[in-house]
Amino acid sequence: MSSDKSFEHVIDFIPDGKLWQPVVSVTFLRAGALDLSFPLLFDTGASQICLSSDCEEFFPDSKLEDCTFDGIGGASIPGKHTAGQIRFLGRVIDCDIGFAKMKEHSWMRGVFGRECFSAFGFGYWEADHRLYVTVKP
Amino acid sequence: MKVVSLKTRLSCCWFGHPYVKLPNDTWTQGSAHSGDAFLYEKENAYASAVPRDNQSLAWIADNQEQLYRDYPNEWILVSNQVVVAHSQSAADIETAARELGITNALVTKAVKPTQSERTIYVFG
Repeated sequence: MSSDKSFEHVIDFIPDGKLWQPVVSVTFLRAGALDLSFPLLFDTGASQICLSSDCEEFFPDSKLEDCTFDGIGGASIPGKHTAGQIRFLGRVIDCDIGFAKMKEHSWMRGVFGRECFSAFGFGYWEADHRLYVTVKP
Repeated sequence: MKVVSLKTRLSCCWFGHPYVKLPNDTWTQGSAHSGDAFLYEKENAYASAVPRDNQSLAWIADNQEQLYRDYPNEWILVSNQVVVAHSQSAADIETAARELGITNALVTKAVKPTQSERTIYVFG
């Protein structure tokens, strides 16, 4: 592991009223279909990518399996998941893609969780409203 | 499905400072404008040396109330801070992106804006 913590990418948080939200655009690669990007909240509390359940419409050819997602306070949320592939900052990553009912915002259709983080290094600057990213962790 | 062109209908501003595309395909934040001619500030060296690809996301957040008024609970296809198609059908959105030749289309749904000041959990 390198001790060099320089970053090649800067992702500005987006304004949401009084708040700033760390949101990234993640591209979903679907066999035989157009690549689509969804805005996802950068979420270190999430173990994997999870999209809002209505995004299932964009994965009609995927084999979705029922599952549950654990949340804060012992909440257990029913959802679905499938194997998929995403691209973020030029890196293509095989990963599990979850679907669950979520609080809705136009600026996010899901969360970007830790399963995909290992290909990157992140520097999180809340005061600066910026996420710094390296693709050479 | 409706394919629309809204280059002037919605605000392209983020806190009053429009983002303008420079000849080298990078974006910068303008300080003033006159007609179609934007005057822009030179960004600091570090910020201008890295990609800044969140402008359409910021634009969605900044215009979420107007987007909900115009396209309530519809999927919207956003390209370069413009809504280029909208529909209640995901299949229609994909068709529009293909017909418009948009690769790597940014898709979201225009939902009623809510402000959360204390969020620890996004499921609900």
